[in-house]
Amino acid sequence: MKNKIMKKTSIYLFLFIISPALLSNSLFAQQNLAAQARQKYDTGDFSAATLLFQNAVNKSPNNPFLQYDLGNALFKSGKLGEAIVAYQRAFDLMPRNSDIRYNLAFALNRAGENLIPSGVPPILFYLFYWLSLKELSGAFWLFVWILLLSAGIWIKLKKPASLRPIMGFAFIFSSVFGIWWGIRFVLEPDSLGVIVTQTAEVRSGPGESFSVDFTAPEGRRVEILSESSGWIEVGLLKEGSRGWVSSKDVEKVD
Amino acid sequence: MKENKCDRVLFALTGFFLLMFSAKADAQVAIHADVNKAIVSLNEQITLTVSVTGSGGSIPDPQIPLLSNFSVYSSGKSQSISISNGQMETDTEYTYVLVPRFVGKGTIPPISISYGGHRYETHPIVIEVSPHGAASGGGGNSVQASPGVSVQSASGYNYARNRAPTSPDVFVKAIVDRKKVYVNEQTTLSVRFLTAVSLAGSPQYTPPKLSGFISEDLPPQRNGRTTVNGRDYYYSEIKLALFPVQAGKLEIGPATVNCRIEKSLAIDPFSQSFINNIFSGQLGMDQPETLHSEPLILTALPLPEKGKPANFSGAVGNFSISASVDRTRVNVGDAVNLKMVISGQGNLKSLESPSIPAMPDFHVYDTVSSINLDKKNDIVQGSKVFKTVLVPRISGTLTIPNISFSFFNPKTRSYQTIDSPSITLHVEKGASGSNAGNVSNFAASAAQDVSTISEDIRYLKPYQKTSLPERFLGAMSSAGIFNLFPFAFFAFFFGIDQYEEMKARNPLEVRKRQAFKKALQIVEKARTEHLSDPKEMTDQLSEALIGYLADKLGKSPSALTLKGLAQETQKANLPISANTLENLKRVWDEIDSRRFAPAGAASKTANSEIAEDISALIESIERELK
Repeated sequence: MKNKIMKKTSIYLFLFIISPALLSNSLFAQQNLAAQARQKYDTGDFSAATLLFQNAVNKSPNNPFLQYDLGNALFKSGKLGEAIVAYQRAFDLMPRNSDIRYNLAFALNRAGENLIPSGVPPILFYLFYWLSLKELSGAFWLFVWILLLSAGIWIKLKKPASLRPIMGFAFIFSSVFGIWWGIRFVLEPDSLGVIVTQTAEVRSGPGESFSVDFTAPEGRRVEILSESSGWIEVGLLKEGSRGWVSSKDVEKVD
Repeated sequence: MKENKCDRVLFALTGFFLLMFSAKADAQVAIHADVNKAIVSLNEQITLTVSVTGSGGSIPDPQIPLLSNFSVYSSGKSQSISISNGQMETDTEYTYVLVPRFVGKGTIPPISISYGGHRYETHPIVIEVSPHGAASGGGGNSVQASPGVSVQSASGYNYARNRAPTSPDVFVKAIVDRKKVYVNEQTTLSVRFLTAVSLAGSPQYTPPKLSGFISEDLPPQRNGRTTVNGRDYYYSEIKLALFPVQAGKLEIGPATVNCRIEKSLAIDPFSQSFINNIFSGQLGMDQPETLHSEPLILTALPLPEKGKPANFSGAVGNFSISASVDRTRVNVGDAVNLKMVISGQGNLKSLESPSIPAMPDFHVYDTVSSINLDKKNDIVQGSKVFKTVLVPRISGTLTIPNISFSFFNPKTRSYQTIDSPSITLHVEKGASGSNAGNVSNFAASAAQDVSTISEDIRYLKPYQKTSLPERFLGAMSSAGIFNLFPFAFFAFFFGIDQYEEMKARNPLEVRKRQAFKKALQIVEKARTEHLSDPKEMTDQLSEALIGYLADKLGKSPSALTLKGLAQETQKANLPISANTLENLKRVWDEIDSRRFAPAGAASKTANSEIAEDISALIESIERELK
């Protein structure tokens, strides 16, 4: 019995010791893939670069810079729609990065869409999209933690005045980030997709028996409203129209 | 002596530089005049060409002196512009048609131009005019008309002999060669003044009022003889090329000629009328006449919309296009002169520059134009030259694409688009040392303005991990259920705080609430710890029961007696039933009797039973109080 416990403990200890090494090995692999992809990109072999960047992204899907690089390779390969998907993912992860914003706006422009809605001052747009949704929720929770823990300690310590500024600070920031997060959450579509085929036929129902109402060009961003056996109901963000497209025509962003 | 020598050298140098400077200043503008022939007959015309060359901008037109011996018509000007070492040089040629009005030797005085505070002049030109040849219709005296109309009078001609009953002595006639043309297509208006009689003085010509047309003179004035309705006339004709600028019915107003007809009455000194005319003052008097041509209506057809090219800019006629550059091997920043020539028949003055396709590899300067007009056979034709300067921005083999020009051909009634062939340039990066002056001009101007050549996505980003704060915020966002911990933490301390506060505010209530639990705990303790010690156990049970009742009644345990219990419960309005009260008395008595009984009188079983009784009693009271 004692031996069994000893054995288990040894395994856990071993795994704990080598985990940083495993992690760094994985990072090294990603770095290596990215370096190879960059080499291919520089020589103009954009298809090969796309494959390598895609592998790196699969290993680390939350790295905005890899998504950006993948978007570049796809754009250079002539895959505008898929490039916009990658740029949008990078933008969702790090909207304040000027290169990501520039390339997304550039690609969207090619698809006949603007990143910054008309009438909105760019500086306001940049401020509103300074943090990603994830960062906003993280900041909200961070200040909620600070607020509640300091409030608990304040009660425990018989309400000393010295803790009040911390609680006030935490309350203000948690409110700001909470409201900011809430507005972004409400304004942004629940599920975003991009047309990835050259021209998608948007029909009045989920099937080819329904008439084609209009066509949507490659790269146009759509809100995914519902799905039904190989067909996706989409709403066009710019035009406000809606209809059904084959699921092959759309790639989901998130 | 030595000082004298130095002075002389200094004087010579100063003189040399002054000469150099003045030579350079003179070279800025030059004017030159020439004629195509210096000896002509009376009915011939001379072409006078005045060329003005200058390196500055806005050089004025030359001042043509009063040429009383010639009728003068402007026949347009042509201009060529070249840019060398960043300096613009213009060469403008003014063409005039001169028709002599005299016989013998005459002089065209110096033609001058004033520019930059200087006056520049041409040399005088001597012209020799011989009398009319046989073809020029001799026999008539030349009578000058002004402005612009010269009519050979029929002086000495026996007009009465040729006179037809319906033909007037003088009249003006205006005709157009076509009455239905497209917008901007040429139609030729001829205004002919005919006379069969002698004129006194010069007829005065007033041109027709034209609205909705662009007109172009077609010099020179024609003179000759013609027969109308069997009557011989001398005529003088002026032609105008008209280009309608709008569609619809357009009117050409009447042309007017004011003249004076010599009265050549048959003189019979023996006739009564001769005497009468002498005394009435009519003999030898001129008769003034004002003559008008019939107004004309012309139909201008609109250009068809069908098949109109996108780059069509209104040109009508028949044209060809060519494009050339002055050099094909240049360095980045060097200027290349691109010359586009549109030649053909049509209203060249209204031609717009062909649209130059987008050339992001070049800086393209504004286009300047010049016209070379020729009016052969009374058709406006010639060429219009458009020149622009291109400056390559990058090195390599660069191409100036085809330059397209569209026009409407009225003969085929269709639009035509013509292209100049593309031109290839070989652009080198250029040596930094050589041709430094020339390159630096453009390099400096390019450095001042950042111009977009093409747009592309930004380059890859170096591999990097997201920063620690970003990862931390990501982890906070993904914490899920762990984010409930601070709520629990806060709720715990808040609850304690609230409880403490409640205790401080109402201690009796707290006693009441805790009474039941406290009593049962004491009973349980007594049962487990003091079962073998009846006295201690009895004390404990007594404490549990009396303490419970005291807590419920809010009294001190020492102040509570069995007798006063019923009263207290009534006073406190506790809903305890009579049965329970009876039971309470019994238990209370039992405890009292045990407390004062001798040691060892009670067994363990009996102790245990009384403990259970008390527990049951307390539970019973608690139930009833709820």
